[in-house]
Amino acid sequence: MIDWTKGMVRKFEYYEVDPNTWKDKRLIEGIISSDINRDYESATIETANIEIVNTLGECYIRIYMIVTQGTETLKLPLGTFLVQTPSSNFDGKIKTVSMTAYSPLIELKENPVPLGYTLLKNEDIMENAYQIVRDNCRAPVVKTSSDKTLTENFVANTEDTYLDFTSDLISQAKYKFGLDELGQILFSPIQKFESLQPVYTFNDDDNSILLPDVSLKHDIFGIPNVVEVITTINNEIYTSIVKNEDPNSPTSIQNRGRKITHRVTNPDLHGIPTRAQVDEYAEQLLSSLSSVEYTANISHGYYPLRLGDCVRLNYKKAELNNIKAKIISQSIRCDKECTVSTTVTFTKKLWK
Amino acid sequence: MALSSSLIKQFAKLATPKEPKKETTLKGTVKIVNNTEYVQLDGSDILTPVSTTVEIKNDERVEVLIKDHTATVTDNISSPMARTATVTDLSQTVDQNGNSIRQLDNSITQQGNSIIQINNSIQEQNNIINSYNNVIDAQNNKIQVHDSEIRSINSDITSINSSISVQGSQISSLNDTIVSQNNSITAINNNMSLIDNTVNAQGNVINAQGNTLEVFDSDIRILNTGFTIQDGVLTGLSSIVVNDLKTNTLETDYAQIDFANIGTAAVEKIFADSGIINDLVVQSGHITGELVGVTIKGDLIEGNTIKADKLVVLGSDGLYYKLNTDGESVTSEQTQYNSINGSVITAHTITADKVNVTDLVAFGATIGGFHITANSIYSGVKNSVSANSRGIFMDSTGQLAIGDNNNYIKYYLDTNDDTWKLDINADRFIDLIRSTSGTNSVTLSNCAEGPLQTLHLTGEMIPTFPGRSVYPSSTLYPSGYPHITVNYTVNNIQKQDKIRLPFDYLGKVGNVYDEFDLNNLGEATLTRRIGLDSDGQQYILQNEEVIDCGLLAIPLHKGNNTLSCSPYNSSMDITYAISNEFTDMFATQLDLTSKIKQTASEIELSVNNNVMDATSSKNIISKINLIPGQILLEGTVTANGNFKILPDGSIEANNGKFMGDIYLGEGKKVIGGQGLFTNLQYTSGGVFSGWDTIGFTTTMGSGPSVLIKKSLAVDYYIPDNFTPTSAYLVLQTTPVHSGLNGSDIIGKCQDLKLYKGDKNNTFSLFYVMDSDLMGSYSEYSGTEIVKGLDPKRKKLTYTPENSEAGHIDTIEVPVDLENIETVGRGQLFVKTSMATPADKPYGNVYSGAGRLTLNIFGYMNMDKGV
Repeated sequence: MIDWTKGMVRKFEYYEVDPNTWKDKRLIEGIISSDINRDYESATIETANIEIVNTLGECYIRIYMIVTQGTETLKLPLGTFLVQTPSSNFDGKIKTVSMTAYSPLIELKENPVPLGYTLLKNEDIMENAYQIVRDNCRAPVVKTSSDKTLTENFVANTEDTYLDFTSDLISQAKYKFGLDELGQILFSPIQKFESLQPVYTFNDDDNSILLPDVSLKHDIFGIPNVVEVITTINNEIYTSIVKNEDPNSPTSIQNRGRKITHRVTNPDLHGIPTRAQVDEYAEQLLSSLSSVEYTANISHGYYPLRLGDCVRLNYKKAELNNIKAKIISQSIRCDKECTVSTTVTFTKKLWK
Repeated sequence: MALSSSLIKQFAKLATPKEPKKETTLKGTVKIVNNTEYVQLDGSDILTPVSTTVEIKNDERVEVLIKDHTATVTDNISSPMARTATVTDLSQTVDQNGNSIRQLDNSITQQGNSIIQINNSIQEQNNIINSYNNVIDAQNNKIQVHDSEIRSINSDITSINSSISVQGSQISSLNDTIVSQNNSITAINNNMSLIDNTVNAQGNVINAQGNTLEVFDSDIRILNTGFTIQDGVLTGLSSIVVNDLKTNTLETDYAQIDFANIGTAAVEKIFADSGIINDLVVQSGHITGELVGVTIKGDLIEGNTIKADKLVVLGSDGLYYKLNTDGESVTSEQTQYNSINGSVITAHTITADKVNVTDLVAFGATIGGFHITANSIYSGVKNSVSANSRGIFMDSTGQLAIGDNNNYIKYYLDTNDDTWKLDINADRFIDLIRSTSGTNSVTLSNCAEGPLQTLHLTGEMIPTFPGRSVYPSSTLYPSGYPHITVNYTVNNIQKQDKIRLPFDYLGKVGNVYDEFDLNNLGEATLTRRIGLDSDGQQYILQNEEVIDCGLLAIPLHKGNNTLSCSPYNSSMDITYAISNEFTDMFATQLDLTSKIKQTASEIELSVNNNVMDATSSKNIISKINLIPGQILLEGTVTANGNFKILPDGSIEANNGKFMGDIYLGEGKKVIGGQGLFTNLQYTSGGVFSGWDTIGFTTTMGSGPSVLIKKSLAVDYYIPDNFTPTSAYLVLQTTPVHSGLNGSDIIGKCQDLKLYKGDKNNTFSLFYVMDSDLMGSYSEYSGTEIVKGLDPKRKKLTYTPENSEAGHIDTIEVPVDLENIETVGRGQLFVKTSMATPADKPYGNVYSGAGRLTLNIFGYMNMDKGV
């Protein structure tokens, strides 16, 4: 087993993938470098940037990292991409071709759903999603079963591609698209962050693969310090107001020097609530709204992590102590150093 | 130079951006299939299901809004929505209030229309209801139109108080029946001319004059008006009828006679003339006289009290006996004709050689020296089972004593330990000892195994050897030396014992002879009368000498034994113990001078004398064959040095293996075939050392909180290698500090009941990573154990007594095993039986704290854990 904190020799191999069998077809020579980007903000989740000396036609390329540590050698796939957008440069000596490559999900994005296409109420969500993806994409699809069915007719929006349509469809069953390193399309369950356990801890000790550069940002825009809940109890209007006046809270009225009010007129309370319940609801709402999402960008040596994985940050020098965070994007530079730029998010409660 | 990672990321996002959702409006054509509304969008072959905000019909052109994966018809192009004014004009025609159709010539032609509103009226003339089967079922309908005709056949007018007041009405149908009461036909010249008309109602009056009753085939044949009934008086009967009633016999099967009108004289005359009672006199409610010729049959005259000055009874001997009574006893009058004299028999005055009675009842008597008391019979002064005097005592409880304080048989109730015991003390048990005699040889049949009881040996037993110095050893005897040979059989094999006798010879000269005696104590004596000189010649000693020969035992074996003397010329008188149930069970070697004491549960042998074995050693207990469990062993008993029974009752052993049960205390088994006696103890799981709330609590979570009952539960688990035998529950309760409407109060649980819980109670749990396990409390469900919190099973509920916080009430109640699971998980819980207070804060008033401890006793076997 490879110890990713120790020294190793890396090299990368690129193979053309047969779209029918989804197996490696031939080794591609002449590739200078590549970058792999994984980001849930991107519709196709993964993209790659590949520089090559010769132009390739449209084809699927699979990137492997070959790791040798002592006597052990590991051939690790990093991703499978459809090369589509070549651009060439000539510096007077060498012509380089830069190609942007996309994940196999790009095929779902290429065609719109027929106008008026509808899945009827009570139909199986994941079964239909599997059928749609399989019929409109060449990459293998890993089938996922669920007992969730549509509660209403599900009509395709006018400008929906199959990717848009199926993304919205599977979100009804609390799933989202995912990809594995071989380019197989997955349906990944949408999990609450609280339920995730760290799969890796980034330490700053001697065995750390963490690089020193860390950027951290957060935004407290819109975080209220006053919550008003207005509701009716037995035909009487009742207003519950909760204020954050905690001097230790950075978002309190004193520390921000002003009131920032969040008003709720339709509280999610079942039945006829009591005043105490409304007060408690308002306090819990202000508590939940008084959390800020931090985004941290860290760089580190390669470790096999995927988007959505939970990691623990223990970078004391950067004042990141025992932080549980979720990976939302990755950028892997496929060179001998194989530096990975990872963006993680975590939340901090600013009041109670 | 490579691009920075951030630039690459931005590029990637731009390359495949997530498109924002847009809403679009398209045109299409309505298609309604199976009552489901679809729209075929322009440019599409697909029928898209839609919802709509406007009224649409098939093939109408519409506009469809597609947004958030829903299709909604927002406009009907073919049939746009109407103007408000147009709708207003229509409303003037169709009035919203009352919904009347005011215009003429409106017709409702469709079937199935109904006018369901109240107070609808059809006011126009010439309306015709010409449909069949119309029903007017409302009350108070009137048909006021003149000249209306009800032509239908078989129409029924069933209403009460219907009247036909129109003149000229005719009831011309056949078989019409007027069944109502108080109908009157007041019209003149009414004729009832039809045949078979029946006037069967009561109260009909024929008050017209000149009516004639011309009834045919009737039973009333009053043809003449010779009698008159006027004002209730019948007059005009013929003299023949009147005279016959006055003077002749009234013949009737039944008569009601007022006896008040019958005088005493008439009664006296009836009985006197009948001869039943002679000299009958009725006076002041009493009847005196004499029954004449009356025979009372039967064997018994019964009555609470038969009072008479005297009763004379004719005996079978032809004599009359008159019985007198003094109110306490019944005696027979003594007359000269019988053997009893005296008017009244008094105590101690009757003597007779013979009294012949079938059943003698007495509360006390002395017969033949036996005293009979209310509950015992005894002789002499032996008036109790423990009396020392000689005699017999026997009482109604079954106790029996025969003998005196030395020799007795007693079967009695020992009040010390409340057990029945049998004591026997006698010098000799006839059934155990048998005597026999013989010369030289005698066969003892059916011997019990043990020593010979007594032996009396006389005659001549002279050794045949010349001297005494040739004895090879103390156990090897020359054949000529005096000894007794015992021949017996074991398993059909002949065996033989030789017993040396403790003397050199037994002599006899003429009528003078030596005597050897062995008594039942094993003591041997020799009465020496004959001397023996060196030549072997016998002579009579001048003085006899009694020689103590020490102790001797001649063992007999079970079955037949043949004793032979050698050298023989002697006679033997022998007593020996015979084999029977008693000797077989308790002692095959009996010293019959021993004291045998037997009780219902044990046999105690108190041996007064030692028993010698064949080696003549003193103070040695010979082979004793007693049944285990029926022996009282005194002192320290040791087996192989490894097992000891100490005098204090304790035992010491190096190791032990018990195949059966072990009991402690008052017979309580602690180890048995089911395993080791074990107490499984479970305590309720409250946050304060097992203490938790009993009373009421509120529901948590979304929605309004509701007051519900809060139970206190104890969960338990019975392993499958455990056999429960009993269980009891300890309930501890205490009042708690609480509040009510801003005031401090003491809350206390009340009216508690015990329940056997369902297994699913409390097991809907939730877990969130890195937090505690959570559960939502709901009222426990289970089966009430009726009166389960009262040890005497009398009270339905239990309310703790203490009312101060911190003071603890404790009760212990047994729990029937039927309420304990035999294996697996179970639960008991305590819950208030109060009604839930309507006002939530009052839940505090009736809530306290408690802790349950469940003890389950039983046996845990070693199937697990070993």
